[in-house]
Amino acid sequence: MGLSLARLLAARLAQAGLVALVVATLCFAALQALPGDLALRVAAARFGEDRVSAAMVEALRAEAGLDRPVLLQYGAWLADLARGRFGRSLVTGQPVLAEVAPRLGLTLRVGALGLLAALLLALPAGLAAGRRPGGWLDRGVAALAALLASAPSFALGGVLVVLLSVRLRWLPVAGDATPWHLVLPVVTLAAALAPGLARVARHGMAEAHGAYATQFARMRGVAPWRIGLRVVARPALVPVVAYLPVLAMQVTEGFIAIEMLFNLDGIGQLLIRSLMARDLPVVAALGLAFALLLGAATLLAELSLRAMDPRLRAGGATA
Amino acid sequence: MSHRHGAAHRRFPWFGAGLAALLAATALAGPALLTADPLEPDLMAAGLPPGGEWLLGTDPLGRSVLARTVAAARLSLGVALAASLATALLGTVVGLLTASLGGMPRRLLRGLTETVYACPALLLVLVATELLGGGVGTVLLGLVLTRWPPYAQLAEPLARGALAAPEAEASLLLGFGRAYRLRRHAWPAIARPVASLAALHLGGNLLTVSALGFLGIGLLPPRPEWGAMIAEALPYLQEAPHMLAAPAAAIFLATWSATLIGEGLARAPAPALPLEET
Repeated sequence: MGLSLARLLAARLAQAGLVALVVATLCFAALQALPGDLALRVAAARFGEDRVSAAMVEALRAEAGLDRPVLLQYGAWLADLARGRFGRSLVTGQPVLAEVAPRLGLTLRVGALGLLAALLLALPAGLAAGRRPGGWLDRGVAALAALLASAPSFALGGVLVVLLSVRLRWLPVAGDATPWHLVLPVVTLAAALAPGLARVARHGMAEAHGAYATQFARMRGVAPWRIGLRVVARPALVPVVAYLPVLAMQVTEGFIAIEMLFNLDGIGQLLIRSLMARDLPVVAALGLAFALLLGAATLLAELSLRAMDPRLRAGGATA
Repeated sequence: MSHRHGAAHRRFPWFGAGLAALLAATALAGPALLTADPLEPDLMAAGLPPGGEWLLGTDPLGRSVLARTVAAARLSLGVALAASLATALLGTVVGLLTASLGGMPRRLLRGLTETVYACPALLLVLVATELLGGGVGTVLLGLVLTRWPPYAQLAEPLARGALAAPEAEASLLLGFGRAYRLRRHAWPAIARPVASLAALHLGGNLLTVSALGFLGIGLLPPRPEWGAMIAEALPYLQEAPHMLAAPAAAIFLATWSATLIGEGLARAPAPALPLEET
């Protein structure tokens, strides 16, 4: 590390852009490589399979510019994306941004709440476990985390739905009408995120607690709360902050299944629907959104790390 | 207390290895031992609970849950295992190269590693598998191309340390080539950590493959696949929980045993200081 702030920002921005480029290119190339007629497929998705006529297909082809040479389409496509002009959905005809934006809001809400719930659950458990490595709390938390991490989240979510929604009728089954509808998806997401987080927090705490600085402070008779706040807190939490990009990645991997399971109208469901309907603009725009979100999460984590760890700012070696 | 804690992490993972061996044996030999056909539907026998003829009951189309779960083991476990091995190989090679090269090639490799690391793996595999056509090959390729960076990031510092050691320097001075030095000095330093990481990632790969199956993308029915079986069983969860329990338990056991093995192989974490209050 030891990069200056400007270089860091530039590097992250370039990386996010590169990832977005890869995703968009993948979408485009995969689409072009498909056998069969793209225009026909999109027309079938838009109007219904039995109502498609040859004239409709041709009109659609001309309208969506699908009759130009491939490289030209690719170039125009990239240029549009770079300018933020995502065009319209090939299926609904609505502007892509109008399709994506409200659903993005829901997904972000569930993701943020899930992350928060995971932090509330895993952080105290991990930190408490790390204070006494090898103790009963540590072993219990580690065992529980290993079990939870091995369970597929969609199966867990399904079981929760049956138990809490159908049998006990405590919570609604599916959809996103009320805040209560979000409880089960958030809990399922948190259950998927918590094990890794608890393990990282435990490790960070164990290292910080056993460090020379902590022992020394204790020997000098510094009050425990003071030690906890001033000496232990930052070294213990640095690994947790560094783990945030991994958590963000886990969220993007987990929420698609969760949205399908609980029938939430977020970008996960939109992605699956658009993929099956071969709605190219929406898929690529969603890929861009994912890449940017992950890049932002990574950048946020790195900036926080720089703020927390003076060694990074000074440009020296870490640990 | 602290040294007991340290010793516990060096214990060989008997339980995990035993469980994994059991699962592997079931996956390999199981289909031959079972008489029920995992693919043939029999609507007269749909949704039967466990007992009697059907050890684990039947699914909505009347197929034996036990037969399907065992048959799916080969596919799901096989893909996850192959993905783990291939990613470990690719990532380790990149890591070793990064460690032994210098200057611009190293910077390029590092940049590549970081960029691919930032790629959302499931998303790319999802898009590629759905758009390029499902099938084991696409899923495997997608997983390998997106999940190798952690191995490179693990292998590089370890290899660099090993290559900077006096033994490696002696080899260099004696005129041995890069391949020899990597094999002789760098490999022993990275073998165990890489194996540990591969075992830990096996669980993740299995969960990803199941998630793809659950979403209906990639490995399509009627081929049995654990995630797809869970998706099929969800509507009937209340009346017939056994249909979901079997594949879910299978995924759970496989992931758990792989994680136990991976943790057992990993180096013990730094033991707490003797001054630590216990």
